[in-house]
Amino acid sequence: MISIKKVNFQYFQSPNLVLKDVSLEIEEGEFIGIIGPTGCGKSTLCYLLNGLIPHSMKGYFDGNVRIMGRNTRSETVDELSNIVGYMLQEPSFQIITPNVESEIAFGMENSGIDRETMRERIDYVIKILGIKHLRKRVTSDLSEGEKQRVILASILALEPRLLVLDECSSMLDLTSKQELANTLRQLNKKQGKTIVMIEHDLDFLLDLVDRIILINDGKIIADGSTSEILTNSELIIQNDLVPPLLIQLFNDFKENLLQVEKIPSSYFEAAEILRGWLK
Amino acid sequence: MSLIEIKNLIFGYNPNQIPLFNNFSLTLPKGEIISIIGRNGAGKTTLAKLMIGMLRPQKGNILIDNEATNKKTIAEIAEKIGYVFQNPNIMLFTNTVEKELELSLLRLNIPKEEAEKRIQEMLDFFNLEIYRKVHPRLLSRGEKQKLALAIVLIQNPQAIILDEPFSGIDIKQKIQIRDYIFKLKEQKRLVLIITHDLDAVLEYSDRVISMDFGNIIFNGQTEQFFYNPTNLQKVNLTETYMLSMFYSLRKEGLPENILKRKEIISYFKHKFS
Repeated sequence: MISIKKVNFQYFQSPNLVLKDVSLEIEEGEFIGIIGPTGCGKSTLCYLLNGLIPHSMKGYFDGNVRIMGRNTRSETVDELSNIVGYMLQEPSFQIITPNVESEIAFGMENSGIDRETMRERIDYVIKILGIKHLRKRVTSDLSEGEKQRVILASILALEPRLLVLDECSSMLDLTSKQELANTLRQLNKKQGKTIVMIEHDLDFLLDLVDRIILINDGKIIADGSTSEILTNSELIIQNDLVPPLLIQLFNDFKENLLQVEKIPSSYFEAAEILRGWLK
Repeated sequence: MSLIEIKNLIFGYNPNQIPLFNNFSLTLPKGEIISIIGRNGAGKTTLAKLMIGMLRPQKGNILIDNEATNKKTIAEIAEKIGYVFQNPNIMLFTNTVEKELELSLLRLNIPKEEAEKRIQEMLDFFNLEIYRKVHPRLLSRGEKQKLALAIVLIQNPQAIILDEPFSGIDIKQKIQIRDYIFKLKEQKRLVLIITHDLDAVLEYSDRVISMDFGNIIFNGQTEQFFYNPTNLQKVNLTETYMLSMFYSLRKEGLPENILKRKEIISYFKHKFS
């Protein structure tokens, strides 16, 4: 579905290369987390996926990106937006219209979708994201977390096959975050949507994504299953990150000479181990 | 000693509805780290904006150091209370990181040498030295967040309000910010953190204030708050994965006072030794 080949990128004003010889293949239906320290190039990598690079973000760009076989150099961001739903890190950059309902309709209006379908889709996305109470609100009054959910709704209304989410849960409270996790799981498992998400909260990724790509200093450092990457504390620490709290807990158990046969890769597994210990 | 005192505050966005804050009072002492938690839309940020004078009470008083603030300008209040916005973009005006820090010192009439020293300290502490001459717009979200924090901290305010300081930053930077927060506490300043990050609340704060639609539901010791799971439910918040695991293990005999990582480790260490 996504094929990135030997990409180098440098913003015109920035002192060095932000992406260095990046190659990556993503299949349809995958659920991927992108992790790495601040400023390592995660967002820049995602700008490749909807054509913001090279069309809007100017810089030195070398290599090729294909989304469903289409070269992003020869497609416009508009054309790509029918396949790729993109959520920027800054919610306020992505809200355009004065109220929530028109915001969700905006992308669809531009894609020439008929009114009846628009209504149906608005009802649907509002329902699955649990934002019925926001429907009649003015967008400028929304909190950052509420904005994030409205943006996601407007993206989902376009029914993209690929979702690229840059820190989509950073402003959400835990309840909303867990609701969002359930929605994303459904979109991926039931509707087969491909999801690529940048996330700092590694505990949130543990029980959510299937594959993790670790980036540091513009390069892909590791690429593997969630449990393989996230339980590898040495790798995580070497790359200026801190392991998920759950993994830290079991590392600490080990250091205190408690018998840990295998570091658990989910909270469910962890609870099972601890239950055994309590007996 | 109370630093901020809110008395019988009334404030609402919509004059036709019951005000969000309806006869609201709260006292905040010096030298504590206090977390304000609640769901999106509970009024946490509104409360902060009222304290710094960005919004004004419709009735009631806000005192800082026993002085009423209703006649003071935002700039005057800012000398006492620093506020780091949830969205760092709205705090950035100039075209380099260095100028951004210089600008924030402008009002304080600080000698040039002292100013340079403080700027250097901030750039070093937050690892922003390499971006000294870079346009703030080119920074990543996490870097902007650190710059926004530096802009406020460089002015040495007595109280600092951090609105979602941990969003968009990695855990390593979170630890840097935490260390700075502890330093501020040692200096007997007031640190007010508005956050959804309950792990951080549990680890850093002395006191928790939980809010729901402009009302204070809980105001007390952090451990006391988390000891009873219903305190979170009362403000419609969900526990963290870790807490949820600890709560569920209570049925199997895990003592109820275990809330933190180091506590569970020493518990099992004892159990097996």
